[in-house]
Amino acid sequence: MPLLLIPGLPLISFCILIFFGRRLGKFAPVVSLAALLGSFLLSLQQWKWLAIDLHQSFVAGVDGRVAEVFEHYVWTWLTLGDHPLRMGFMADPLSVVMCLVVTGIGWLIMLYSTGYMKGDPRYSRFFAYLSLFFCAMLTLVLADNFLLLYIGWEGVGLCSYLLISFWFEKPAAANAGKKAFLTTRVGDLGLFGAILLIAKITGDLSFADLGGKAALLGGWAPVVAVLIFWGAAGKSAQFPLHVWLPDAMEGPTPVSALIHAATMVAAGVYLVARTLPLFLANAQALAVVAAVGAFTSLFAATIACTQTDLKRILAYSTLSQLGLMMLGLGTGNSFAGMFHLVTHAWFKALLFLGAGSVIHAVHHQEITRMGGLWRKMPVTAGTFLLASVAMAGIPPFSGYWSKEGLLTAISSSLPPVYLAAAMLVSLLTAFYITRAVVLTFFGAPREESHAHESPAVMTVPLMVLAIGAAGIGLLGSPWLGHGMQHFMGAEAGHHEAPHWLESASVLIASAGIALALVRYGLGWQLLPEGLRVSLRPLYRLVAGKYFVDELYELALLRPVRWISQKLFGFDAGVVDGAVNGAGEAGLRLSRVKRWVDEHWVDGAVNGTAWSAGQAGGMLRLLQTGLVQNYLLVASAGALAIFFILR
Amino acid sequence: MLETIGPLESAAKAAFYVVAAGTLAGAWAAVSARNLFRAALGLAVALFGVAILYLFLEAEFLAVVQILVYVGAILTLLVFGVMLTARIADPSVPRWNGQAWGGLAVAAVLGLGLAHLLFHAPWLAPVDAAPAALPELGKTLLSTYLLPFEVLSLLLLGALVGAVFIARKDPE
Amino acid sequence: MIIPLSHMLVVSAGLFALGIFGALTRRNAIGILMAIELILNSANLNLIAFGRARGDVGGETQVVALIVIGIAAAGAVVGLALVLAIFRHRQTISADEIKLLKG
Repeated sequence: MPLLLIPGLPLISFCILIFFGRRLGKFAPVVSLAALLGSFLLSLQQWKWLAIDLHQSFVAGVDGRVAEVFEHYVWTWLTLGDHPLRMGFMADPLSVVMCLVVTGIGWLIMLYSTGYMKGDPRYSRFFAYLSLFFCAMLTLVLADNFLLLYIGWEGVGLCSYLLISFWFEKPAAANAGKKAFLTTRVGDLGLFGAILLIAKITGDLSFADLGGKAALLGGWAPVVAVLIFWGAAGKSAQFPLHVWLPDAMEGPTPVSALIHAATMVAAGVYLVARTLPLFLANAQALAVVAAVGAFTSLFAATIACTQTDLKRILAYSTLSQLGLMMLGLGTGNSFAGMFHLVTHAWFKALLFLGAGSVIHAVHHQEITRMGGLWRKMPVTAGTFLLASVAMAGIPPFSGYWSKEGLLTAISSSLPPVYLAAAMLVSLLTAFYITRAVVLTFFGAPREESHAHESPAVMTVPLMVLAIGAAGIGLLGSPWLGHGMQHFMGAEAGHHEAPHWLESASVLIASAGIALALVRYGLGWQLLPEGLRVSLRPLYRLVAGKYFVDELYELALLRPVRWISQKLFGFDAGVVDGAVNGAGEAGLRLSRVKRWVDEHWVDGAVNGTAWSAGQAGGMLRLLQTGLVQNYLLVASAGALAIFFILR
Repeated sequence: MLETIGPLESAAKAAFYVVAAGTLAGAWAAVSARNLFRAALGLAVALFGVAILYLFLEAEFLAVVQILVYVGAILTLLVFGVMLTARIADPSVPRWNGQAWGGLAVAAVLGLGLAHLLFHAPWLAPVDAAPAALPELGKTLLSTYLLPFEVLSLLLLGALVGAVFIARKDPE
Repeated sequence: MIIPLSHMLVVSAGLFALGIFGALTRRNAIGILMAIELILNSANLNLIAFGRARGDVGGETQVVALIVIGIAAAGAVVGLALVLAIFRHRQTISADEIKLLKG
């Protein structure tokens, strides 16, 4: 029952806010904050139970858990013929970790939003949407079957749409919302197809015994796995369905932090981690995951190096990190990806909130027009710097541990080219984030601004998140005995990493930082003039985001528009012409008819009416108004019918 | 109730025919008496006769209800109605309306036709089952037929309120 | 059952025919109501007679007859109220003087 409350409390909060939000006014966030805090505490309780279970198995000296005991709440939703459709919530370690990330980070971001959204005309509506989002996200995370997960999946998609286009007065925001909704819908189609196939072939949609289901699926198993990944790619913005995420930055910054960095986009990663047994059953599907992840990661990291819009840099960075997580899952080791998901949620949320704080202060997003802001907003600068270091992968901050785990997993189970790609991404990550930090906070101010530090309600969440961003990775580090690996049931230290890997990754991250510092801090040109000129077309290609949007425009949207226009032309020319011609002919004909009407038909009509009137007058005599008379006739009629029919 | 043979059986049969004749006679009086009050008395005889016929059918409870509700309540109500409206005993008022002969014809054809059918229909053999005992009846009424029973009570309430509303003096 | 089913049914048919006759020909509205009560009684008698002849599980036919009696009572009450209302408005309850339905 407490499980139902985890998504239930935000739902209640949504109902209250959507109906009474206006009346609550500036107290609206109190409701949603209280509800989410409740969900967080309930998740914490679930975590405690699991931890106690783990401790007991440790005491008993058993490898793994004593019993796979976790809270599991099932009910029959409806029965179709002989097939009961079961719904259920379950809190296994994977779900609980996701719950804690979603509710914990979500609560801080919500608190931050109370300051960020202050004065917005739809203040309470914003928190209502956020509550609805949490309800859907927690349903997705706690679902014990594909159907309920899909319900949550579509729910978060809807909330994402509502929140991206929250400022729908801005055409860009409205369009971005539409684009996000449609693009993710293309992905949802894949997941939906996978669910249909699973239901058709195995007849059971629960997550139990996925390995057995993979065997049942037989030849369909790779298809189902790839369809699921297609859905996950839509939600987690993997190539080629990544185009919506950078545009989604049109939404309020807390939304970008919460939905488009920390939680919702991680749903795809979570989905793949959850259904990993289906992928493990066939190498091809796993290879697809790894390849797409690696490509997206590299692809987005290069773009991030060229952007000048602070939020877009972070958006492409998110794409890149999500790609890394997918690459991690592609190794067949769910922990590597999930661990990076957790650490990434913390430092990326912090980066976005820091960016929000900056944008709040300077009212634009161009890093080329910022600079020297650290004097004016020290808390924001400090926390942003910390998050950047964490993301770059400098020990002992969280990003280092999870990236280390990823690299270990990749090196031990994938071809070296993947390791090289991951290393390159590492370098680029360190480079672009240092570039952003340097251009935003250091150097001389490039533009006069009246920036000032944000209010406490915004800086306090930044500081709390900074603690998380710095320390959350320790949970999975050898210093704390690989506690998180144990909790998630992953085998710690199973993969023997080459000893040079550790130092190499730190070295690469440092190199990236150093390069960026030299290029943007000192202003040195790293490449000789001649090479730069010859590389300019390449730069333009990257800065133009490889023109994927333009490609879609050319390959998909323009043909559709062209066909529509042709169809319109056909309509206007041929169909309308036919209709108009028919109308003209009809007009002529009706003139003739009118004459006939006036002289012939009217006479006939009037005559008919007259004779009807006469007949009615005669029949009127029959209607005596005496009930008994009617009754007599009715009885006689009934008798007559009886005698006729017998 | 009468499961004997011989004289008692024939006595019972005779009693039935007497009661049946009395019932029909009462009914005739109810529909033909010039004086409405006498018609009401005829109706009372007919209803009472039906109650006794219920006894012949071993439906004792129904017989009691018949007397209580019809003779006790409905008939009293009708008599009130008769007395509240004028000209009940005025011999100048015709008993029947202008379609008496038509009505008589329909009723006669109906009655004789039904009787003919009843005497010549190929009836299934009677089942020799014990009549339902009163506790059983009560259980059926308050379990299977509880909903109709309750709906009926609502109907009676509605009829009561409606009757009061219709029959009261218009507030002017 | 000592009385043949058909004899009981004939009595019922007789009551029904008399009721129809009364309903068709009575001038007085209260007379019509009385005739209708006769018709309802004949239907009940019919029902009970069949129930007795063909087995009456749990007294179901009697229960139905009870409900019919209840409905008849409700009908009589409303009918009488209507008669009284008409009498007060028009000083007559002769059915052949009431021709509101005349077209």
